[in-house]
Order: sequence, then C-alpha cells, then structure tokens
Amino acid sequence: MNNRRHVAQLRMAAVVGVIVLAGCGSQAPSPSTANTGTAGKNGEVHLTLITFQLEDAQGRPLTMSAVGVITSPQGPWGRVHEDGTVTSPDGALRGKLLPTGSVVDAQGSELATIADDGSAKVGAKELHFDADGKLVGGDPSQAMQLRATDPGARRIAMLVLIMAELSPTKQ
Amino acid sequence: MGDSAADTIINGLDKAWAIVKDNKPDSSAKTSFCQAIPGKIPFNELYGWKNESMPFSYELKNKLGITVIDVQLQLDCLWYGQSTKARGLFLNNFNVWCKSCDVEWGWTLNIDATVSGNAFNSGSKDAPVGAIPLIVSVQAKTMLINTTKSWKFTCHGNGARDVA
Repeated sequence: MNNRRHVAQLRMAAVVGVIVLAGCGSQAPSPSTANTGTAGKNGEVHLTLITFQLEDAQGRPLTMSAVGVITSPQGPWGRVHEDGTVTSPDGALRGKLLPTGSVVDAQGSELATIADDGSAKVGAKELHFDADGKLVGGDPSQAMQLRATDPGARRIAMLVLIMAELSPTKQ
Repeated sequence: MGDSAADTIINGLDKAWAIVKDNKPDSSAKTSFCQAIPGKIPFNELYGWKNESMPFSYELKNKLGITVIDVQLQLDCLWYGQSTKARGLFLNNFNVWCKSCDVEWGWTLNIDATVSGNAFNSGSKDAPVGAIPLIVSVQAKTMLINTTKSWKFTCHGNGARDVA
C-alpha cells in the first residue's frame, strides 16, 4: 500500500514538474528582455508590438495596433503575436518569424528572412526601410511608406508586409 | 445562305484593349471588339446573329488568407451570323470586359485583351466557320512579386468556344 502511494506521489510530482516547465516556456517576456525580434531565453522570438502604418502606392493605409491587430481599409486582416506567429482574423496560423530570422508559412516553408534591423531577403530581392521609412529594393513602381515613431517597428512592419504581399500560389 | 463559300475571313475591329488599368475597370473595354466575318461582304448584309455571354472570375489571396483580388469578368459575342451571298457562320462583337474589380491594400492589377494572330476559318472550305482567338492576360503585382495568369478564348461562328 505504501509502495503504491509512493508511486502515485512520484507520478504526481512528475506531472507537476512538466506543468512548471511548460509554464516557463510560455512566460511573457519581461520589458527588459523584450525587443523587436531577437531570440529570447528559450530560443523563441519575443516581439514588442509597436503601432505603425504602411502606406501603399495608392496611399491606402495598413495599420498595426499596439496589440498586434492588422487592419486594412477593407477591415481586419489578422494579428501579429509576441511569439512571432501571425494569424488570420479567424485565428488560423498563417506564418511565423523564427529566432533565426526566417519567416515561414503555416506549412513551414521559408518565405523570407528578416534581420534584426528590419532588412529582409525575399527570393532575390533585398529590402529595407530607409531613414524616412521608404521601402527600398522592391518593385519601384509599387511605392511603400512606413510611418512609425519607433524605429523598432521596422522588423514587425517587414513581417506584416511579407505576409500581406505574397500569395500562397507558387510565384 | 449564299451558294458559294466565303473565301476570306477578317477582323476589321480592335486587336488589343485594356480591361483593368491600375485597379480600375477600363471603360473603353465595353466598346472594344474583335470579329471573324467575310472580307468581301458588307457587315450590314450579315444576319441571324445570336447572343452569347459567359461570366468568369479571377481571385487571389495573400499569405494571410485574405482575398486581395476579386475580379468579375464577362465574355460577350454574337455568333451564327450568315449572308445571302456566301456560305458560312460568322462571329462579331467578341469582347471581354470587367463587371467588377476589388483590389486590396498593397496590390496592383492590370488586365489586357489581345487578339492572337488573325481571324481564321475553323470549319471547312465548303462550310466556313469564322473564329478568332483572344488572349486575356492578368498581371497582379506588389512590391515583392509579379504574378501572371492568362486565358486563350477562341470563339467560333457556330457557337463553339475553346478555352486554354
């Protein structure tokens, strides 16, 4: 009987241990460790969500709120989460920024890479936002302007731009 | 219908037009046409025309799963045209135009129609059928990509229609 109780206690301790470990992995980053895209302590991305607006060639705005909600003139387009995931309005996973800087789609295929400074490589294209927020390196006929007060917005803006301007079909 | 077969089939109308220009339907597309009619018979001597319309669409989503392009197009033509002077079935007012066009943030859409080659006889020497191929080309682009799609519609004077 004592042996059975001991085994049950060990099992309970193991379960509690797993819950504690899982809890550590999903902790929100503290402000001191948060940034706009480097890997956190557990090898995960911790994004600080910053309000910004991207203006396309026709002057139409795409905005991201301080909680990561992406809104186009048409309505909600999805959400960026602190762990680097990007979801559609129905909550479905659409992509993720990995600690390595890779942006992958829901199937895990790499779409692009984004550096800490917000510069990106999408196929053969190398892109970055210049000091005025103008996107440099893409199709010059398709102007794109970033409006943000915090330069840290560049990396998240690039992530949103990539998810919004690539199509699921093979290019 | 005439005793002799039509010997030449021509397109005396347009050879190319814009359907959507920079995200907006081009109003001139509704009055741009091609045709496949006998070369030596005045148009007003052709009769028996039948109307044909075929709606079709183009849709594109982005990586967020949002429909960023939704275009409704329509193909119209008159077929079964005949003449008392020459045997054959002919085609007129073959047109593709845009009924509605929604293009969302970050995307630019252009759609063009171009006649591919000449009007031709898709029937026989004794029973000619006027036909003409029209290529409809879609170009959707962003700062990052340029994606294209095209259809080749060949309409025939006997009402047949090929899509490739």
